[in-house]
Amino acid sequence: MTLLEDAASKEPLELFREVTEDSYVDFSWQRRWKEETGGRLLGYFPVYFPEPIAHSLGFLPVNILGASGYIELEKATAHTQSFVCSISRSTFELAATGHLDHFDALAFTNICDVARNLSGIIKRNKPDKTVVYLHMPINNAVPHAKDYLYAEYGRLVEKLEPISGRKLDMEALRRSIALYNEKWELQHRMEQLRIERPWLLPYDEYYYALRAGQLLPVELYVEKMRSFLGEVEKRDRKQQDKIRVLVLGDFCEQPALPLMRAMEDAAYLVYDEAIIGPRWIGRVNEAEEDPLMALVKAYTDNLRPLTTRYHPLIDKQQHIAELVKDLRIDAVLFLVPKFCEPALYDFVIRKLALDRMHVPYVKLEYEESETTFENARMTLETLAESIIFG
Amino acid sequence: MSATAKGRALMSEEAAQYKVPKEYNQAVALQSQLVRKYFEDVAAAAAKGKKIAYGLVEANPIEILRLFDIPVVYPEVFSLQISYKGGALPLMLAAENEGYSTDCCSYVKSGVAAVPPIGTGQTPLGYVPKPDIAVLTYSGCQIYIHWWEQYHYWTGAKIFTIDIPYVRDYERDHYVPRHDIRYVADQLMNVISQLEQLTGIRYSEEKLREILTYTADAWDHWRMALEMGKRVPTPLDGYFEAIYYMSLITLTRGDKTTADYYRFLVDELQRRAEAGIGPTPEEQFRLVFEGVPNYPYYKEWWSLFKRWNARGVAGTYPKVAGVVDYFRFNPDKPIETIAEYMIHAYCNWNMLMRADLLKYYVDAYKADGVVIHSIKSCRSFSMGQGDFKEYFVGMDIPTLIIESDHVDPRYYSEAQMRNRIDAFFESLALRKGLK
Ligand code: SF4
Ligand code: SF4
Repeated sequence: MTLLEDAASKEPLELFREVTEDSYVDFSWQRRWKEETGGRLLGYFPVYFPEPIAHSLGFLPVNILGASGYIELEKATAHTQSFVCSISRSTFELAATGHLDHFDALAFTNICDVARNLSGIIKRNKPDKTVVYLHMPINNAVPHAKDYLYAEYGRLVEKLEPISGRKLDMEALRRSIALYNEKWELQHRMEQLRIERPWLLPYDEYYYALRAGQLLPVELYVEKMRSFLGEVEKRDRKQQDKIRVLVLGDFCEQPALPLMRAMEDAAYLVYDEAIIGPRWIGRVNEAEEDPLMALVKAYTDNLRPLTTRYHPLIDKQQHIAELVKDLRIDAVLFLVPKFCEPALYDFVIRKLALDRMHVPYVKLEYEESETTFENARMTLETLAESIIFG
Repeated sequence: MSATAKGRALMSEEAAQYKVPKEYNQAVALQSQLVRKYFEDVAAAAAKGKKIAYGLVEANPIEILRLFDIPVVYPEVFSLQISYKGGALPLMLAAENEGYSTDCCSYVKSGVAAVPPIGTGQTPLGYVPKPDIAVLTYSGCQIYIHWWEQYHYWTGAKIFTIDIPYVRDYERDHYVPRHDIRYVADQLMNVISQLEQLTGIRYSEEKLREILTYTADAWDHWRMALEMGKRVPTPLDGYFEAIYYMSLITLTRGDKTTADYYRFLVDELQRRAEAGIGPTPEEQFRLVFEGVPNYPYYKEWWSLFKRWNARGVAGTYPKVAGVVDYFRFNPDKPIETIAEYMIHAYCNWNMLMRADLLKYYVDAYKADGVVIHSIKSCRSFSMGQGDFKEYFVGMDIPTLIIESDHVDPRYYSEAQMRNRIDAFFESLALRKGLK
């Protein structure tokens, strides 16, 4: 049975879980995909990457999300500092130990100084690997940002074309955009489901379904996702008496699933930032004459805050106020990766707004390799009880 | 005490306490005077109700702000100065009290906690006004963005953004795409028109050229001063002393006083070289330094190297305001030259270029080894410094990594630091056949 036949025969959730667990260290699913299809693999570091560009050039874009504690840090201990986040260290370890060798290219963007320097030291240790670093614009309110990003995407295309042997074809790009829009629609539908009826979809199922979207060919994913959501929406489960919590900070490094389960015991986590990039970008305008420009505009004109992307026109405090109101939030859980400065600064900005609104919040820090979650559970439980019992 | 084969002390407390004779050390005193005047001028301007801009060290377009007569405060500079004077800890605690983590950059914490509404603006340096506008030059450090956002949300300061792409093409060394320069130049023109509106002053390219002529002059002499580190023995410490000398190239570039200052510095170093005078009694070890220094214990920390008669011949930190070895100002193309200057800040260079620059320093400045000071709360500098070490060790270049912080005094352990540094020099001495 080929890989794709095998995937087609599996229940969606089974496939989602399998590829997620395989992506902590091995990426054997993608390796087989490459062998069987002759396609190319592009691995990209969080948070956002214009997947349709790579897809239209014959790549399978795959999100590298760290090893989630499943790899021993040895080389990373010598090459990276101890006071940086664990996703960057475990990603370095994956690269240095050959686990990313079958990727034809690796891509990074300017989400933070750590990811930026990580791209450089991976290149120094793997000189034959194509490592692309995209500088995404931050001065998105000026018109020049669009021309700049258009040229920057052109630079990406120049790097990828010789690897796949394909030239950028605008019609192919248009088709890729349409496929990724479908993926976005489905993920958005799942997001809405968790906002409206979080009891129907436990966190770990939601997470597997999200993460698989970063690992599987988009064509296969949308098919599986459609059937998965159809099944979830038909579920008949009872709502429990739990507070509604907004989770912020998990936009890059992945919190351990047992941690999230422990949190979910205490509250409904109605919205979070897990694997936020593809959800954040929204629907790319398929009617735009130039599809590359459509991708550019989806980025520069996006007025939803994203911690790792600055936009001069965004008011983060107003946004959190709206989110709390619109999602009927009882409390906010700041779930911050240890040593992740972007998350630590946004915490202060948002906390100031929450203080003014008298919305309760707690802040917890996590690391990939964490194995004890009792304290975290108790912290959220105490907060939930104080809200429920006044 | 460690001794040479001939019985001479390799390490001594006299060397640790050594001071360059006054007549050969006037440039440091002069820069202190000029920096003090700069702080007084800014405070006086604020008192008269002038609008105050906050600026960042990396990629600051001081020439443009001069054109519009806008006084600029550099929070990195006042933070380091407060730390140098021993005043950082209360600011760390005040910031932490407002929710800033111990893992946040300590420049940000002291920078935010010193001024209202968290602080009062009264600091060991005198009064530091809060910002009316914050000029965000995003070059070399992502935390700049988050820091400026803090000012925006705490004080309401308006942010003027200039986005400066990273030097990022790993296949082509030093390659800067045309679209980067165009993008930065376009944004500079955009900021200029915003400043015209804010101040009512019209932009004059001719005047900007004039300012840049002073800048280019100061810049060339700054480079000549640093390149004196190539001499054996070196008349200056290209790290510890260069850090004093770099203040004006950041704060007051673009006027005659600053240009004259760097001529004076070159003369003084020339005189030192002729008289055989340097920053230590003699020159036993020549070192290249990577990383931001420890400001809270600056002199104590330096003395741990001085006691071994070790001199810094070159350092990367004095290049944060621009890699002077590589870049030259061209006043004939004012906007483009400022754009290029902004791109070539040290931390805006990718890690391969940074490692190559260090390797170049080791070779061209005939260094015995590299010292990497890895500061805990600056990941822009520090992330991947371990990789530098592996790289240099692979080329048989002795390399020492030590850790502390640039501002927060809680991360400095004198005993631990001393042990690591002593062990490094012991092995260097063996390698050089001094023992
Ligand atoms: S977790 Fe934070 S610090 Fe680490 S790579 Fe991601 S954004 Fe950067
Ligand atoms: S370069 Fe480092 S020390 Fe300077 S502001 Fe950025 S993080 Fe802080």
